[in-house]
Amino acid sequence: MLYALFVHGSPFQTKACHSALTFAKAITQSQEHELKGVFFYQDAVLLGNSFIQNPRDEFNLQAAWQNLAKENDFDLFLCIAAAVRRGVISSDEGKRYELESSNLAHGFQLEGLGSLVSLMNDCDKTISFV
Amino acid sequence: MSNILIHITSSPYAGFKVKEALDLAMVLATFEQEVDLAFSGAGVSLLHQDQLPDNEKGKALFKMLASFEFYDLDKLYIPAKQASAKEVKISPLATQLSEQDWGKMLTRYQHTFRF
Repeated sequence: MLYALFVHGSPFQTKACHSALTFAKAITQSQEHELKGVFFYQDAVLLGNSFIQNPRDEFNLQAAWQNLAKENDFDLFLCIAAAVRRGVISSDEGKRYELESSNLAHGFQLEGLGSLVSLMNDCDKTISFV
Repeated sequence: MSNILIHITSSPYAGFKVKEALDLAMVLATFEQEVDLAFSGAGVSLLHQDQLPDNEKGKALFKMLASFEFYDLDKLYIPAKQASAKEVKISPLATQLSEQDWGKMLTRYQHTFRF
């Protein structure tokens, strides 16, 4: 079965991104299931901020997602409108808004909600994490 | 094409949650997905008539409801009990459902996203 994950909850205020990671790991370890992509919306887009400085003695959630996606070849999409509103900026958006820097973390892509529609329609199941 | 329910249970004035739920509904409808909306709990307050929020308290989200017909977002549901419990007028755009019909409605979608 092909899965898409739709994550809404903040990585700081909720465990949505953590629970989704656990679920994603279970899919990638399964022989029967496959993960096509993860779409982060609302405060979950904060996960893609490369300026986050994780305390060294704490679990690095951003790195965990980056590694899992790289090892298993699935996409990490951030909703572009939700990300820009919250100051998560790719180099292209940085140029568009004439900003001095950008902070989109490696392995994440800014995409419109249309990409969520494609992802949902390509997959058998879409699971939300709030 | 998917049939999708956006179920709004949060207050429209408590953060961006409801604004982004409505954005999602409109984008999904633009991409020709079949989208219906359901409101319950604090989310019902989006359907209150005669709201006068000022800019500082957030965008007047209820005004977005008037544009929904252009996106074919014409199915808005609330539980009748919750509509009658409030001492305010509820938008005529919303259909009030009995407890039984509300339960049936919640089960007929391929995807349900709750905000």
